Amino acid sequence: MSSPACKYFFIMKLCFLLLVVATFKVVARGNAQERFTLNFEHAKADKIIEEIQRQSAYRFFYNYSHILQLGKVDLKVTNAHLKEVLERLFNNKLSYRIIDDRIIVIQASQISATQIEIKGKVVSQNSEPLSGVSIKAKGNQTGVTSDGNGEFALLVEEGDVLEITHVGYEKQTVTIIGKTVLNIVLKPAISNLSEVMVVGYGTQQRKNMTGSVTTLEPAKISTFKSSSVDAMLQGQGAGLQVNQSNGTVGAPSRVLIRGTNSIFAAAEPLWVIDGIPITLSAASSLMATINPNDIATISVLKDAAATAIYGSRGANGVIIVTTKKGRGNEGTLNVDVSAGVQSLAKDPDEMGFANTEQWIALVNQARTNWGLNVPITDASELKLLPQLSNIGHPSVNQVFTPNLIANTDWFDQVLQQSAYQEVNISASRGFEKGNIFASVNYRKDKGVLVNNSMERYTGRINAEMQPVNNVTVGIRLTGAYEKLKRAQDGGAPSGNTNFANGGFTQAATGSLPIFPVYYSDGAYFNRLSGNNLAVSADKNNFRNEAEIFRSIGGLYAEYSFPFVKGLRLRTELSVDYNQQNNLSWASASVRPSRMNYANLNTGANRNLNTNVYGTYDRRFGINHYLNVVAGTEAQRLTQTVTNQTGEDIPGTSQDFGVPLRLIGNTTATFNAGSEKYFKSYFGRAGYSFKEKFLLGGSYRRDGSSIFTKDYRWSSFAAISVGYVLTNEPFMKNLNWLNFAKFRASYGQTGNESIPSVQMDQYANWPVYSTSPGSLVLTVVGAPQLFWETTNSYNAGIDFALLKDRLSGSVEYYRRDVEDLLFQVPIAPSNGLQFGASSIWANVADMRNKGWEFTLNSKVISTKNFSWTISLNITTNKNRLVSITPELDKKGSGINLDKTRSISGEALSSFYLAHYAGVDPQTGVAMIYQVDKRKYDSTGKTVFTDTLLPATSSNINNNRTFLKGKTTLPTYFGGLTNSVQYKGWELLTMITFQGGNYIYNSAKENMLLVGTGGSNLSTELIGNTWQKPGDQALYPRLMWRNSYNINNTGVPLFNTNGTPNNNQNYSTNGNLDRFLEKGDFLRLRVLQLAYTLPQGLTKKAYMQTVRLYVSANNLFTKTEFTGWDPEIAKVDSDAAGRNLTQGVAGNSVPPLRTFNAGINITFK
Amino acid sequence: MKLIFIVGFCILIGSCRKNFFELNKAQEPPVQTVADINRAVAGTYYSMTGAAGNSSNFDALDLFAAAISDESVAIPKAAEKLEVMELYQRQNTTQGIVTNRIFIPSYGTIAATNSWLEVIESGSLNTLPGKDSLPFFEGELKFLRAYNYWILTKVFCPPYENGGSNDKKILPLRLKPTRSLADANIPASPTSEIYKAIEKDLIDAVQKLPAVSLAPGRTNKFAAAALLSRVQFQMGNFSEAEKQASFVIEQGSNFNLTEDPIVAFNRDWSGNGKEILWSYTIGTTPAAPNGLGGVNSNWKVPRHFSFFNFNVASSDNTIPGNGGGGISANPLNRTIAVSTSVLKSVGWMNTSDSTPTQAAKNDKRFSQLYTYIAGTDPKFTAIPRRLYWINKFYRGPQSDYRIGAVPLIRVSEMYLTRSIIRFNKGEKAAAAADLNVIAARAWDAAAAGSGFVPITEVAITAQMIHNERWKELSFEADRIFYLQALKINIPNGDRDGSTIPYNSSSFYWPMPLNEYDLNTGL
Repeated sequence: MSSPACKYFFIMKLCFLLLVVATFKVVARGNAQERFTLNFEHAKADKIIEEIQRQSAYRFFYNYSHILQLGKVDLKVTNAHLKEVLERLFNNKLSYRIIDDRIIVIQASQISATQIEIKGKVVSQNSEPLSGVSIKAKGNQTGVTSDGNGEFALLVEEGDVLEITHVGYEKQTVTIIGKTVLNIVLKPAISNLSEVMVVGYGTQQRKNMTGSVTTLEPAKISTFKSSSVDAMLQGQGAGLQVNQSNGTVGAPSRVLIRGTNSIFAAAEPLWVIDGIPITLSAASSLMATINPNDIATISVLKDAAATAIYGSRGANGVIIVTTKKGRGNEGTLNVDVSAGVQSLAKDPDEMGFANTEQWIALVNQARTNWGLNVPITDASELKLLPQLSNIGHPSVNQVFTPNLIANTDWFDQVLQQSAYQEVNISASRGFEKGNIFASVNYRKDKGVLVNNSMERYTGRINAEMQPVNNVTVGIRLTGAYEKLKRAQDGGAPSGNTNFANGGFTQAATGSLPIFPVYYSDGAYFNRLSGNNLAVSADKNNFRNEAEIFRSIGGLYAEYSFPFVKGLRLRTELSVDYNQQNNLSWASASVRPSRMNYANLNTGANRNLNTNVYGTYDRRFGINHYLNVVAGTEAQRLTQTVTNQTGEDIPGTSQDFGVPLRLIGNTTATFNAGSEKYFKSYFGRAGYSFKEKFLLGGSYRRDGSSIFTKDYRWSSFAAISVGYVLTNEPFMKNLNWLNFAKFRASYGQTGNESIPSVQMDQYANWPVYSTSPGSLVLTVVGAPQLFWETTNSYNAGIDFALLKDRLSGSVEYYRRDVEDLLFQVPIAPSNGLQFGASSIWANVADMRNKGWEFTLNSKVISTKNFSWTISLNITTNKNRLVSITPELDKKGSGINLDKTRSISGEALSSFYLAHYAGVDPQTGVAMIYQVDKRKYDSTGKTVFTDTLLPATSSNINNNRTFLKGKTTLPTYFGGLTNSVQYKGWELLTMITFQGGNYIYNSAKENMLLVGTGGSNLSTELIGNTWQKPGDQALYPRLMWRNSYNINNTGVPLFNTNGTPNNNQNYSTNGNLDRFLEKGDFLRLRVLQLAYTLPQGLTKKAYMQTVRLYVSANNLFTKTEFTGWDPEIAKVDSDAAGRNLTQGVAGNSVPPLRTFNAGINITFK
Repeated sequence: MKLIFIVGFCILIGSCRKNFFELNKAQEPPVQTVADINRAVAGTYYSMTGAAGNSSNFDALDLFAAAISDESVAIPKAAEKLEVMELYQRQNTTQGIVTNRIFIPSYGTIAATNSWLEVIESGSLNTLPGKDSLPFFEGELKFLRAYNYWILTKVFCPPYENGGSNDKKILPLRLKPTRSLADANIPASPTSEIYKAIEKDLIDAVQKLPAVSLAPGRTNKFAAAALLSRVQFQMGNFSEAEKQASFVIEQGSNFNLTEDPIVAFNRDWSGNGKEILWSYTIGTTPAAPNGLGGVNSNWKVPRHFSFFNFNVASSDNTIPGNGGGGISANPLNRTIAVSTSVLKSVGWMNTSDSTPTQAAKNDKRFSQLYTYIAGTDPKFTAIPRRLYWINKFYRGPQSDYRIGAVPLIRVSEMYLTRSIIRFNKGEKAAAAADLNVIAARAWDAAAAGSGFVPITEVAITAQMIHNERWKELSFEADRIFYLQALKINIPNGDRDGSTIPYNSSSFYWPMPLNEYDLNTGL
């Protein structure tokens, strides 16, 4: 604090705070001595009340209709006592009572000697104060409404029954017997219209919201049993698109809000956990370190009105997670124990892999067709030899020896019965001046793949207290340790390490049924091939583990200004630290000509966030409500990565060797990591007039170190309006319509999720001659880059009908992304041969638009039986408005894998050759020829009359843009049904998604014989072309996938075995015959729960005991014939995630889970 | 008081950084010292081998030049489906596979030279220790830029016509680094401009480079002069070409033809034969055992040599017998043999039975750098005749076939260039003298049983010089360009048909389609 810079910063902050105070026009004229100076002429009484409240700490509780009786009032007093002021104001027309700092205004006639004074507070289930709640005695037309702090006071008779009602909440009644203080917790009604929603830097009531925010119910999302919160979100809210990448333990999910909003920058939303913005790459499974049971609320912010306050990181939406805190004056202890078993949602048998007999028949058919009139009998043809591991095993050819021939189901070697157990214990208690919540969680997952498992321990303490009046301080601390064992599946995380791979993918591809697991002498068969999955599943051969340590800590303090009602100042300091240690190890027995290998990759991420913001939340009279937030925030994100590799390590230790022993050739590299800094100033204001007209606005100015100084700062603003039709007097008699609000918003948000490319970047490459390494250019610097800007438009209606039995919302959204951060491909003559041949620039424009429908219905609601339905549907239409002039001019677009993205069409559309069936005369697969001349001149694909053989080169030269067939879903949603009868509850959740297409790469690979290196499909049997004239489903099977295309009579192969004059079929073809619809409908949750009668549980000092059994992913309806239509790319490269998510190979499909659990709450 | 407390708390947790956005580990310019620029120059050489396998430009140029000229023959069937066929058949209307591989590393190297020349020219290193070496580095960079532009003109531009307009605009001339999208999209320059840039760079390089290379594999003054001679020869500036050749021969006393022909080709990375003006080093050093093409590296091998060289590169040197190349290493890649027409025209093959002539046997080049298979090649049983293969490459130490110094400019070329220029000027004695230096070195007295008999000024003919040049520089990207420089129509070799005009468009290729697609400046 001693440096001039610090002083400067101190002054800046002080000025800012003063500015906040000044903004709210805080003038402390009132005092506790209740003397007032007022000067009103012909003024409304509520105006005068407002001024009295402004000058003092008193709050008035009254019925507005009573105040109207006073008419226009003249009131001029100087330094007058409160009593005098009130008497002159009410002029005997009204009476009042003063209870502490509360003034209850009542009709003079209602005063009775037996009346008692009641005061209290109304809060939501989340302990958030509820304002505007009506509190009145049953049968009495008059009452009061709660103020901005949820507090109220009124006069009642002993024995009166108070009715507490609030739109969106269930009515509550309280009988006044011996009570003077009431603390009332309202349960949300199905419509949730008045729930308090967590938004950026604060909360807002739904009825006042003009932005698009979905609040997810933790109790509902946790019915999907997963170790990671992100996976639980599928189908839970409109606009939220969630896909799990695969069924392995700890696999991340990809979460998108309202479609794919970027191309080369990340399109995933910003997560804010307890106030700290978390940088989550899609490839990370860091969400698995958050205990789902700790979550109190999840808010999904979707339009600019809601997200603009997050400025440069709000363009893809924001998910705000808030953890629980203690509430109520009584403590609770909750114990939840659950366990489940899991298996693949689709059994390998359903994929139709040929068994040994079928496989050999198909292969021999291909060989015969090719001209090799020799059945396959030699293992060397399958490239089993030469391999050192096979030397000394004369029985290599047992793969073709009758009686010895195997028929191995390799999935048996990689799959196991999966199971999990989870225990969660939490305790919470509220005190007069504080609350505390603590939890511990243990979860153990045994994955569906052999050697895949996870153990997780988490602990949390959330504590809050009021050490002195008006100050609240709190702390949120969580720590997690996760140990993840990964199954071997196609390679080590650190790249090419020269060891034989294995795993699930191999079981589906290269591990043939004819291969035995063991030689006849008991040794592993062909252990270096990577095809013997028993080898890769052997714990003695591979180790691939991750240890993840994570701690998130937050400290906050809030100060409520006593002399400015409704003004609070809050500051938060949060730290998120996580470290991942990834160790992979392979034994010499799976390494050709090498000894043991080990790699340790350690990454540490530090995220420090501080903010200071003030909130002014005040109701002025009965008509005006104002909520203002203003503050500043700073965030520092740093990362370091170190990498050690050991080669040829002796010994048996599954690590870098043991102490005092040679550790082989070990190299260590240090990656300087990355740094990213943000600084922001933000503000938001919401105004409500008569709870009928709503106006909102937000502004954020963001600076980021990602960009150069001149382009670092940018501003984002949003404006929104709302109109509550049902608060119009003329609507009061419309009984069937309880609530209707129209709202609309426009605003800008940004996206900066790209690597820093401010300067040219170089790589150190191996030496040339004797110099110590060389420098080569890898990235051309782009100092003029700035944010992607998203212009969001949103319009919607929220409604509640039939006494809240039916409620919901309909929204239309449009997001125009401009200046997309784009890696513009540049011509090869620019010489960027060692990196991406591109320059980052802000060039492209894209649009996402669609509708969101949310419907909640309380179909039946009786004392013992209820049935509720919740439905959400989102549609999304994506259009790439323009890319770069270069690419637009040529019409070549962005080509990645099997997709092409061109201007005017949806992002990531498939770009494939059009399959024309099997030629009946030759048995060759054919494609339609593209008129190249037409295409070159017009950019339009027109087919000629010619059919071409589907060779690799023909396919690549005749690919066509498949308009409308994109990898991006065009609709998705969820449907939840809950039926309750007494203590029983049956819950089902169906999720659905579709409109997208998936390239079934797994199936394609099963249809090609090649040189006998892969598994084949039983679909080929009897369905391949045999003779001229056949109308076959599949082409003539050919060894090497080679066909004599020209049919010239030249022998098919020469003496060297080299094919003559014929061409290969591509094993990675781009044929639209493998394109399938990605639509699916899934029974994601089926749960039956039973809550024991309280009479029974109370005897055991338990408040509730709930037992449940459930099943996840029980049933999927889809036309997709691959493993599963739910696919997500989670590459570290954003373009890969955004553009190529529609190619499905052989990754582990989602799991079907059967769970059982018990939840006990002690009170 | 409470307000003060809370404000104080706010400030305490705030940041006190002087410049909030200043990175702790800010990216630094890659070149800040003279040692850095030395590394950068090394990287520039390295760029010629491209970023992946099969991507070196100098071996691809040798393949290109051999395949389109009359000196080679594509092995039927074996070559049919390979990329060499489009070259051999001169199908330059299609997208070139080999030529693309030449284009990319050549421009990659040019881009690197532009970057580092900008650093040197900025003067930021002028006061630093070691600054005296800066002119050397500048010379190296200009040499490399010129060399790569020369490669590009040979493959993508028509031959230079002395006295002609040479105004065909094909290649973009890039002499500054790409810093923006505007830089990235520039128009093509007339061929004459490219040649002018090459000349200018080489003249500078000759002035600035040291007489002796800074390290094995790096260039020097005489290599630059030799390249300048080669370029002037191509441009038809014969007197200038002769001048530079003489400069090399007379001033470059370290370079001579005192060693057997094989010595230039069987070196490891650490040194050159005495006739080598510049070689591309594929090697390893004790200090950096995993260096370029080193024992633990399985890429960056100039694999295009495998298409025509008897020894071929292996992808797996762990298989016994594969070290040092040899016929066991995937010989089916070897698809371009020496054409019988050239062998016969130079007098190395008997016309009657396709066996080697006595003249061939008397020539050390034939015995040391060619392989003749007496019967049929066991690997190509479909081919019922004897095959002659060039065997100049992958001749380095047998412990690792990838280690070696690939000769790119040899002093013998200077003698032969000067010989034909002098012959054409009528200075036959001088022409014969130069020719005799080459022929005498190649003469195998033991095999011939007699000493070398010099060619006299009376006996010398232009064809003798042409033949000697082919014998000396075969498959080193010389034959076709030599003929083009002399405006001699190109024989069709073993293909059907007659000779083709030296400036036929059949001999240069279109740039990669990507260049046309993405460079909007074109």
